[in-house]
Amino acid sequence: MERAHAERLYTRAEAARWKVPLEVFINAVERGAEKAFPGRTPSQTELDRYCDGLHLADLALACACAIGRNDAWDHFVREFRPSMYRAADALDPSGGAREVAESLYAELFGLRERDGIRQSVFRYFHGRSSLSTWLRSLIVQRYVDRHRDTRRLAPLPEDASPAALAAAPPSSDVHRERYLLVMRTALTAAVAALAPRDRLRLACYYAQDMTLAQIARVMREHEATVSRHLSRTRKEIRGDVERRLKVQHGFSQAEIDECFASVVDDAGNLDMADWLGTRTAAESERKELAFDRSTDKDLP
Amino acid sequence: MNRNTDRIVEQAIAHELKTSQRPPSVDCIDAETLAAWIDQGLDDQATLAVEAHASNCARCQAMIAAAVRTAPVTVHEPRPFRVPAWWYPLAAGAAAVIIWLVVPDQRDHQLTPSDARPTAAAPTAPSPSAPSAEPPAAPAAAGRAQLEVGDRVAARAREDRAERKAIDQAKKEEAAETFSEAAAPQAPDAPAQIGAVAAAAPAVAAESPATLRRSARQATDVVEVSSPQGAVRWRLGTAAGLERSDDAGASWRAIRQIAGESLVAGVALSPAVAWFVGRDGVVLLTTDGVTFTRVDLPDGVDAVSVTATDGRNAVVTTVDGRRFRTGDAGRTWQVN
Repeated sequence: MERAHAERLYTRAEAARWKVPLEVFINAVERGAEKAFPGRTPSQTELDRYCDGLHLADLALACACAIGRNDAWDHFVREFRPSMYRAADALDPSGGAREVAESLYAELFGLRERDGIRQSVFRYFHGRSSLSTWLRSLIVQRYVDRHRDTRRLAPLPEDASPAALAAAPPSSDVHRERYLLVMRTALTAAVAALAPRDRLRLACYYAQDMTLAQIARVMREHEATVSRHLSRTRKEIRGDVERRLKVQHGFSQAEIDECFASVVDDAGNLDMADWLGTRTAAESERKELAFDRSTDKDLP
Repeated sequence: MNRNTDRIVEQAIAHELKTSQRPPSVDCIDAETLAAWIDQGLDDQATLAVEAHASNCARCQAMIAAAVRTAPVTVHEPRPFRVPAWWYPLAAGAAAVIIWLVVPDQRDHQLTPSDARPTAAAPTAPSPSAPSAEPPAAPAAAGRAQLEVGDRVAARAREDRAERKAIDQAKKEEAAETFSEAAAPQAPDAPAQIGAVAAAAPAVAAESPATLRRSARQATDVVEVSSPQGAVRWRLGTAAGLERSDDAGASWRAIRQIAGESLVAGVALSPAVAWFVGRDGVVLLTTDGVTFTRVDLPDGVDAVSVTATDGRNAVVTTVDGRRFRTGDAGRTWQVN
């Protein structure tokens, strides 16, 4: 990076406020650029655009905290620590995620040392997001991974294990079994054929139980647009499934209706989370409440 | 059956999405990338890559869901109502029509002598509502009614012309007021051939837009634009021009060379990068928080809002509902 350009960024970031050496700041920007343009050298235009989008003030603060500037750390504790705890409490109102936030706080301070130098997690902040979003993402990542590890290690109920399900007595209706299998194959192919953004929107709604407002926020769309896209995607899937059943299996409309009916008959087993008994109490409660997901009411 | 089928499709989709996810892998999104995706800090290619991976990965979906649930709820204050520019001539026209309708007797009284035509009508002028309210009893009465209607149409046409002239004058006055600090010129006198009351309406029309615009300006709420961290703030619409605060609004520093009055909205992406838009297509961009580049919209239409992702990409909405997009810091604009 050109020195003059780096100095302009340094000035814009007001890094001198925290007495961050210019070299440290340049290293931080370059580390971020290496991650943003992996394995290649960006053009000057790309680099300019990248630098223009950086949260430079936050990056300067992170650099200062990483090298142990006390005034910067005091500022961070005052401005950002409360939001870390708020995020943890939003994940688990009973306080279960506070431990994650505390542990992250220690890592940010850099309790570990390598070659006599404090190793702070701050060095992984590149300024592509705000510092508060990055902190929330770190908490979320650790919480989700811990939750998944806990779930993985928990023994499955004997009668709900996949083996037990596989060994379940076959249905007496051979046609229904066939229809169910065909239907699920067609459905898997139809979902796989969706555009990634459509599939993500659908997964957020159906697999993650997010509200329309939450999906709208994260996908940067209007709530009504999300609803419209979901509706369109459902229609596309239905049309695709029907087409596959007709073309690939030569089903008549009556047989297609039978296929759908077979899924209705099998609806009790449709939810894999229920199958595996992995739905948490809170999730089950939320599902049972059948809340109106068109609103933001369930937000913390 | 159709609704049932829809419900079944929904259930089947939910099942499919919960069972067909790939397990976590080395390609999973890290926290820094997730944060960048949430804050729109990724380029298009990286954004697509994140979305493509997350659409098939249960862990990453769970992270997205958890991240959005931890997001602080921001309360957006409603924007102060701003009267669109096209409203002024419309309001002036409406005012003129209302006056014309409310005072028919005086209007007719004023119009008749200057527009005297040889008619077979009775010497006493009928009330304005009579021709339309009563069916013509005789050919003479019908002719009189037609002539009166003709008079009215002619008078309306003259009024319209005068009104348009007055509005044009008001626009000129407005332009002069906007581009120079000189006092607004006086509204011209109405044409003499139009009667006093008829002239009164255009006079109102002539003064209304400028007066309303001035009063609207005086009443315009000061717009405050805050950077994400909140320490650096900008204030538009004050007499001092565009102002900047580096201490979360405790003190303000005027940036005098920028006419703050003409700016109506802005967005600050960081303490240094901010976009501001205003009347006559004014668009200002700063990438260092100190110097401003003027990158106006091509056709000078009033801008009402701006959204931006960085110092290069922004979308400006104009008063007529069009959206102008730039991806090169305002050097070129594309209309959506």
